[in-house]
Amino acid sequence: MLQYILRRILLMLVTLLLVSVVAFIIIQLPPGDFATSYISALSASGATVQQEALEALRTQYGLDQPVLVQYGKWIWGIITRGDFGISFSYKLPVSSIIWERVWLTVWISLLCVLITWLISFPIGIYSAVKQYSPGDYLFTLLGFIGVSVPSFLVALVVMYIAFKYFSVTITGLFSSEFVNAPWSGAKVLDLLGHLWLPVLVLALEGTAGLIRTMRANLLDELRKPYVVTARAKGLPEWKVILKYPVRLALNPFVSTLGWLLPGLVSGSIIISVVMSLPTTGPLLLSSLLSQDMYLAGTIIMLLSALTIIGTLLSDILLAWLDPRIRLQ
Amino acid sequence: MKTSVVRFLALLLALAVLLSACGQPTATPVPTKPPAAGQPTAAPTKAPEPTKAPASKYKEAPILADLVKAGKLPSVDQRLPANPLVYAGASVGTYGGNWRMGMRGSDYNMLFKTFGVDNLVTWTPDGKGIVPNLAEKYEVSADGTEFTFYLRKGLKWSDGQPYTAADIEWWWAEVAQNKDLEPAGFPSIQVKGEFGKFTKVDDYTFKVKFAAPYAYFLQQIAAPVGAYVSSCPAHFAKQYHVNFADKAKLDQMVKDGGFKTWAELFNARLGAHCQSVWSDENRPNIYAWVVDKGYSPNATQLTFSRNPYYWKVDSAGNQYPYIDKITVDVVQDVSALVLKATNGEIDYQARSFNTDPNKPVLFDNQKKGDYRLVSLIKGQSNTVAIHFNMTSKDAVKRAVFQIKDFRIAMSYAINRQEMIDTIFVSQGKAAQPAPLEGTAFYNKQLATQYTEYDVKKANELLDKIGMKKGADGWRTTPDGKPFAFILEGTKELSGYMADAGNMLAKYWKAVGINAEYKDEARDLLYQRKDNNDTDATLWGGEGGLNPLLDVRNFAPVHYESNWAVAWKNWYTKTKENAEEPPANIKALIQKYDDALLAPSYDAQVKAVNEMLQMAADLFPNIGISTPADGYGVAKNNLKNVPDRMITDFTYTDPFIARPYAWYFGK
Repeated sequence: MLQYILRRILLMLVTLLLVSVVAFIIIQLPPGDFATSYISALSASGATVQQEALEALRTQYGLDQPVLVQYGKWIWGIITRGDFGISFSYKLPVSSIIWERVWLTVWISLLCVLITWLISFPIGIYSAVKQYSPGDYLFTLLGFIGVSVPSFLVALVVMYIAFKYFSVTITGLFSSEFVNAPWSGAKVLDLLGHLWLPVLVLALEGTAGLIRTMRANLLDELRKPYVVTARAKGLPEWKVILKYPVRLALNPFVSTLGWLLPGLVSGSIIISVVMSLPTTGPLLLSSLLSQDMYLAGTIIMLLSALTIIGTLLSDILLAWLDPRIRLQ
Repeated sequence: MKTSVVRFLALLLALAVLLSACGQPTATPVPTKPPAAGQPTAAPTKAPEPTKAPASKYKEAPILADLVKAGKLPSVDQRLPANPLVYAGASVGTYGGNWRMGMRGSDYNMLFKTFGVDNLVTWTPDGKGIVPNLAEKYEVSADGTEFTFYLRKGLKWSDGQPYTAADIEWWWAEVAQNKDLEPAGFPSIQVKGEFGKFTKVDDYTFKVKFAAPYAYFLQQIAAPVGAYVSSCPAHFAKQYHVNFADKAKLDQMVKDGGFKTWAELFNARLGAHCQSVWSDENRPNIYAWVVDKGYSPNATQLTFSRNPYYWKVDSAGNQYPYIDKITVDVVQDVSALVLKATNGEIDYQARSFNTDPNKPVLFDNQKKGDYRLVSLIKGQSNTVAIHFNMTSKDAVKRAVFQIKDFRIAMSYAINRQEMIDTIFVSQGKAAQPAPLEGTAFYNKQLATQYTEYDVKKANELLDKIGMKKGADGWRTTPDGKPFAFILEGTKELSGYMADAGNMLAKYWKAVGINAEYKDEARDLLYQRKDNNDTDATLWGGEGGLNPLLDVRNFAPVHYESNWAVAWKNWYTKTKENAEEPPANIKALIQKYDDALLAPSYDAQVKAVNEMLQMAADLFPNIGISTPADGYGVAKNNLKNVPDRMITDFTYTDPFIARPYAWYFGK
């Protein structure tokens, strides 16, 4: 087991390195660089720009050097000093910008996973046990709507309804008067009042899939002889279902943890933009648009790292949960 | 978290002091910015002066009066300069209130335009003149080379330190000409590659002398560029400057901040060119409001509070500003701003969300949100400027684009009224890119020539220059070669560009010219035009109020004179894709230089108008229509907001409308 984990961690490092290369190249692919996008943004706002300023900007940020050199300097800084470089648009070290947002993103994502499970677990069991009942159909219908409607649209619709009928604007994590206020009971309540919507909207997207998997897996198990045996022993129905088939059907919950994370993180970008949440999403989007490459590269690296760690954790969990699984 | 706790405690403390000291005059006021506790300002504070209780010459906000009573602030008479700027708003206001706005992402230019352009001199509210501001008066020598500024005596930074000519002298020498901070040197204070010579006469008087006449300098320092010159607090900035700070301490600060060079640290703390003041709560400024909770990449709300040392008063002697606080919520998406505005959560704003497509919904919700819409005069010279690249790398295309009759034919072929009706909801009238009517620069010929829709004339002109129709139905070049071109634009500039481009291509096809519109990413467009790869481009028409401040459409000297990329490169001495222009273009450029170096404002206007007449005869590019008024959102209880004001980066709205004189009424 330990050897397996060690090998996986080594592989993780290689994967991360590859991700950094790909991320860097993709960020460099669009025409122009930070200097051009900076100047064009300035110009669109009506400011006059001198060409010398453009050149000076390029030299200052090393944008005039070959991509390989730029990449080498960046990755060397990370490995040797933990220095992720400077964000061009904020003129601040990348590391001073992102951590606060990364943690918030992680928290919101974990909360979403939890909510996703809380919703889909009981519904999945219900749908399997009461297959083809009106309740099963209702949840199936709702689940498919959840899958097919983009989550940002759901967010927009809910925001609109809140505005139209309750005259409330649900954006950000706090109401205006609480943003910079010290923590208090009222502030926590305010946070909860704002947090439920994005979390629920994000969670909805994942629930439908999990409900279907849970339902299908459980249906397979329910028909197996050991269930009949358990029932024959006279165990109460809830115990029959929860103790044996549900445990076996749990596997997808754990094994999907790895890919649920990146899904939530990327899915939350648009929702975060729409709802003005201070997560990494809007930062990543704006840094990509302005070609602020060290900032964008670092965020992509971190999100990839989180995903890879999540996958590893889910694999370990799976092995622990289901002894039939062998690690090789 | 920590700072907000400190602030909370400071607030409690202030409250306690206020309650205990109700009414009794105290002996030792400390002249620092009151609300921010624990300022690590290096400079020693001025010796405290005892406050007596004589009848005050000026009046102040209740929250400041309380601080004065509590002994935390010198009296208003001591805080104001000897000769404060008196500005009479439409009505005398009352103090208090919180001005709420919403900022999109890192768009802090919005704050800059709201109260960060309190320069040495400033525009009159109608944008036609320049009046003293930080300087109580100024003189320009007859030859236009030397400028003398007389600062208001007793001006103070927001931390109570004196604001003097030494601050500007320091910026001029140590920031604008420092190779680390400004690799190319700060541009607007150089003439013919030479920095203006700065002479400090006394604490409140200084002279600037340029190598050549430079009347334009005055307009430059009234424009946003001028804020850089006069916003640098030397006593605060020195701790971050390599020539003044203790080396070990500076190195430590650079290291702690995660920077590589001292210049990066300096720019992060003081802003590029030592202007931006939106992040650091400790950085003193001279504006109407000062930072409470500053901008950082993770900030979701910024707050600003009144500057107790602000140096302007109303006609009744009340110290400005009227409004106590500004709160700016940071949002990522424009629709969130629209939502806020319609819900009445924005007190005044005319940025980011005030697009034409959003106007109906904002109009309809006026009653619900208890706000009104105010009109904005756009500073653009046109809605769309079409630039045919007369210096295209392609010899065939360039030859055609250089034929004036071709451009005239293209202009006649456009059904402007149809475009105005479909794209601009019937707002505005047909026009070429030109300074707007009512300005000192209006040129009827430039503005209105060839704007009628006349397909017959267009065809006649094309026939006349020998562009005959080929076998495929498209017109060829005069010497019989096939002719087609791409019109490039970007929706990222304005949503309507793609509609305009496609309609233009349709009109031109109708007269046999094979043109296609292509919408592309803004970065790609910039790269292509920098390489001189474009045939023809669309951009917004700039320079409608003062062509000299944005001359791109009238003379090929501007970074975005996309109708003559190679000539522009010749003028700016760019090595690649440069080409010497023909004599008539050189004469036009010469006129522009004359205008820049004119010795007086009148001489300048004259030179600009001569340049515009040359541009009118040359007819370098085509426009569609005059821009319709824009709009902003103002709450019904916000008073003194004009119903119509200029919006433009150079004239900086809403600052031009004096927001420090706005107030919340009943």
